[in-house]
Amino acid sequence: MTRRPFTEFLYRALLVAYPSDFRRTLGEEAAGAFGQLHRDEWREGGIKAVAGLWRRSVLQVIGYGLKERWEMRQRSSRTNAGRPPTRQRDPFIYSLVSDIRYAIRSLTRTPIFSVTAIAIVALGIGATTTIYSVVDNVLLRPLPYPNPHELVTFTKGPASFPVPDFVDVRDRTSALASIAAMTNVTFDLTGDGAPEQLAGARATEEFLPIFGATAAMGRLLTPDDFEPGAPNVAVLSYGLWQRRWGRDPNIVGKTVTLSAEPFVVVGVLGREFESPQALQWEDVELWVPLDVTTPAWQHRRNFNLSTIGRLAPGVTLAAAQAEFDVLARTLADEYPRGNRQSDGNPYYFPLVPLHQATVGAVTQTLYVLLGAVGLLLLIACANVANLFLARGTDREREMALRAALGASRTRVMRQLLAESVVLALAGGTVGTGLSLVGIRAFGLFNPGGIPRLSEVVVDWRVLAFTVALSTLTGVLFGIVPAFQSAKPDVTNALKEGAQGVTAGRHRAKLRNSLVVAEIGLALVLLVGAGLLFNSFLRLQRVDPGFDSDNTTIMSLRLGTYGVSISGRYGTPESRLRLADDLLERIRTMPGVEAAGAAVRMPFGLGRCCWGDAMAPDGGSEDSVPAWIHPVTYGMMEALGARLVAGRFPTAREMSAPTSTVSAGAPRRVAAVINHSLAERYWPSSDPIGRVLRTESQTLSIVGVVEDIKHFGLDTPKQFDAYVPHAEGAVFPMLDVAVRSSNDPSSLAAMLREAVWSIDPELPVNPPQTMNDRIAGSITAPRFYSVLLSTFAVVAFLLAASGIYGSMLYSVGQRHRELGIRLALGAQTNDLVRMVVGKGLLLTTIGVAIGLAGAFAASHILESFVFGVSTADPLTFVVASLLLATVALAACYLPARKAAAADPLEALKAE
Amino acid sequence: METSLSPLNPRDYLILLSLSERPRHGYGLLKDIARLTENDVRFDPANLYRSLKRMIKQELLTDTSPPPDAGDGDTRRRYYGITNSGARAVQAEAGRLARLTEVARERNLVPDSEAPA
Repeated sequence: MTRRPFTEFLYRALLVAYPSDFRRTLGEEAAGAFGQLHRDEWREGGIKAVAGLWRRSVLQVIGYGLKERWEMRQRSSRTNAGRPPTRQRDPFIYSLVSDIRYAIRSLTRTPIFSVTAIAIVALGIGATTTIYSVVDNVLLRPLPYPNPHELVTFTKGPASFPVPDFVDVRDRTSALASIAAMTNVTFDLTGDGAPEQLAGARATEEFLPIFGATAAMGRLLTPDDFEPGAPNVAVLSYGLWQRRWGRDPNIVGKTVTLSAEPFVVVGVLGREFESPQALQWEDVELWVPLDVTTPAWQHRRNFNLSTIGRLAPGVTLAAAQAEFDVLARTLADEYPRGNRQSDGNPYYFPLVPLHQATVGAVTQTLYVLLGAVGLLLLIACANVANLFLARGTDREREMALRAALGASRTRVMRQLLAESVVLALAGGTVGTGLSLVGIRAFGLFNPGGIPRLSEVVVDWRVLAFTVALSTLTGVLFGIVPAFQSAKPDVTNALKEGAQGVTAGRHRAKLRNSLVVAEIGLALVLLVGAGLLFNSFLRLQRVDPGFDSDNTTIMSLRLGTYGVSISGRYGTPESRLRLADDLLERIRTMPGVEAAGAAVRMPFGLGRCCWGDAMAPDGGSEDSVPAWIHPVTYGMMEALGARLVAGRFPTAREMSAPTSTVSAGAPRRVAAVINHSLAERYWPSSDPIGRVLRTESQTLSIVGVVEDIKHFGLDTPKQFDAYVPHAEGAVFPMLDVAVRSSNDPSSLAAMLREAVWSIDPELPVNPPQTMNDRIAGSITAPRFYSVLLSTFAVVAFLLAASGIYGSMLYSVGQRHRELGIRLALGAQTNDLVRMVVGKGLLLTTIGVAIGLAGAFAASHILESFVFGVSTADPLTFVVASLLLATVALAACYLPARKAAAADPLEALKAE
Repeated sequence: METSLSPLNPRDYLILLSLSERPRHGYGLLKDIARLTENDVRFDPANLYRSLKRMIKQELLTDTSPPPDAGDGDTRRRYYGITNSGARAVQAEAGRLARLTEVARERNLVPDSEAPA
């Protein structure tokens, strides 16, 4: 006979919802068919499909099983028609109720045991529910839009979408039933109270309707709003209307000032509308029309639209992609300059489901966390199972008595299972409470951009999950002990003072296996946490490439970066003048050693620079892609860049005026390049005085600096060139770096004053020290390594307490044997050695299994670790030693107790 | 009896429809129904057997021997086949549905299934 697979066994267990009659006749076949379905689903759709199968089956089995019971009762009462009605009791339900009642009584009789077990279960279930509710809300739940699976977004290559391409795609696609685009805009809202910056969006007409948005008041954008010469109109989000205008009922028709232009409010969006997180920078609060005919945008390399489309009925993603590929090739033929890449291939338009675009980046992270808490829960189960086993030994006599009085084995088993399930449900209840706290905490720390986290709530889905999980947990940790206890050796157990030696030995074996399993699982977690922690330490130690101490950064946003830059700093000249005035003032402040500005300083959000191919004079086929950073005089010094060769450029070199020379003649500018770029072209000669060319510039190199990690500590080496700020004045951002030994907070105040003394209306983000910015850039890895470490420590403690409890119990059980050994002349040291030796054996087996498991599982962390291999021997060794040491220490106390056995006492008990 | 079966419960109809082609075992039925409905209807095994048991009682189905082409290893399983009254029931239901579909088509409610995807 082949062994029945576990899935079929579980399914068969689930069938208790059906009447026993049904189970007897058809249960096996149904379970067999389920097993086959299970294998099919696993083969075809993996874990997701299997989860779906289980969800469907659990619901259907419970629903139809109870229906079948009900119908059976109806039938039997029909056949009994005519006889006086007797009170009908379903024997199954009746005995279930009595089992539960008995279980509660029996558990309250041993409060310490019950509380301990409930606490352990609560810990496991609380952690699992917390992570599960995040996974459920963020990953599993559909996006809050109609038919969300039809929504797709697309890009041009890896970048946003240019307007002319969007118009072409919109006119030619048939795979998408509707298509729309938006671009993020920051507006300065003035008048009506304090000025503030608002995240806004320009959107095409179809944009809001695609998401099923409706107006709570007024209307959405209509075709008239997009006509040339139409008045400026805006639609407010419900949140903004509430926050800024206190839900003013007369808001529609009001005129508001956005970045110095008047806009008429035509409507307020419904409260339930959520702006699409995958497409926006921050939550959009204000929607205005996007005019696709704007002249400034008619460029196919001007990447600024976020796109959305709805698949036409019956069209699959693959079919739509095929159409888009054809479109991309056609457009590349029509517009080779804008739509053909330098290698001759067209720019393709990859379609991505909106859901994936929203949560794709965190999917793996969340599943890893879920896996980790799953391990934790398993350890908790093993721990509680061990407690139950020990308790079973104490209750041997009770069970034997029941058996002697005629209780069937299944009956006794069921009753014991009821106890463990009741206990697990109690633990689950406490755990749910813990998870409410956990979810709140998770939200507070929001570890580096998990989307939709604010939506996370504990609702019936999560509660159903917790109930199912608790029940499963109860069965899991109850089944083995119940199985054990249900076959007592009646004759022996009932004899006064006798200890069921055979059964006891068997049970000890089980307990030992559980301890081994706990150690193994804990080691897997410990190694995982160790790897993340190790990689975090390395990440933290990475040299950013400059001396970040004493540097403070202040970010300014100079205008709206929409169709064109508007507002007071709408022209490059006005922005350059502001930078010059501001820096001049800052340099005269006491304690300031250096000050400079750039579009964006390292470790900041947003665009710092642009990429361009460059090559030394006369060797254009040997070009490399490099980042070009526009910086002012003093920026390198203020940042703390380290010179490798040459010098920093002078003020005069850096303030070379924007050349308005005719296109065609490249501008010649002074430049500093990074070490990697210097090594690339001049590994053995002096780069100073050499020249690098791009399409529009000629860079004469005056200095070489160490590589600066602009985009984060974990980024690989890149090529950088620093050019005069005027070259980058197209960007309306300005980051000011100040090197000063002053106290950062007083410096921050002085810096803001300096800005306001020039322009009292310019919004200023709070200045930040460079060290804070660097620390902020590794928030996510820190969070995950701390979280996983917490799980690992809990697992570790559970495993240690498991081995401690188990050894203590076995010493207690064997106190008579130990006493006899002492009486026969054994030394206390021998006894200590015996107990510790046994613990050592269990630990070694557990560690061996755990190492194998960790080795197999750790590659999952591949994309999470930095600078350390997922098979890092040091981490594996340290984790094993740590676990082994604590496990042995946990054996020591029981060993002392064994050695203290009193031969007289032990023998007197006979 | 037959009049009381019309209209047939949609799930019973699917079972009869599948078995009208040839006898199948439970698992085969599950797969065939999923295929017929393009995965819209997915019976839970226990629920399927529950329906089968009832339909045998209603004499729409019967236990049968495996068809000759049943492949190896399948002889252990129970096969289900359609009875004469089962065949009549499925015919009656198919006719009823066809008439209703015709009405829907006249009212332009049926998407054109000939359109290319």
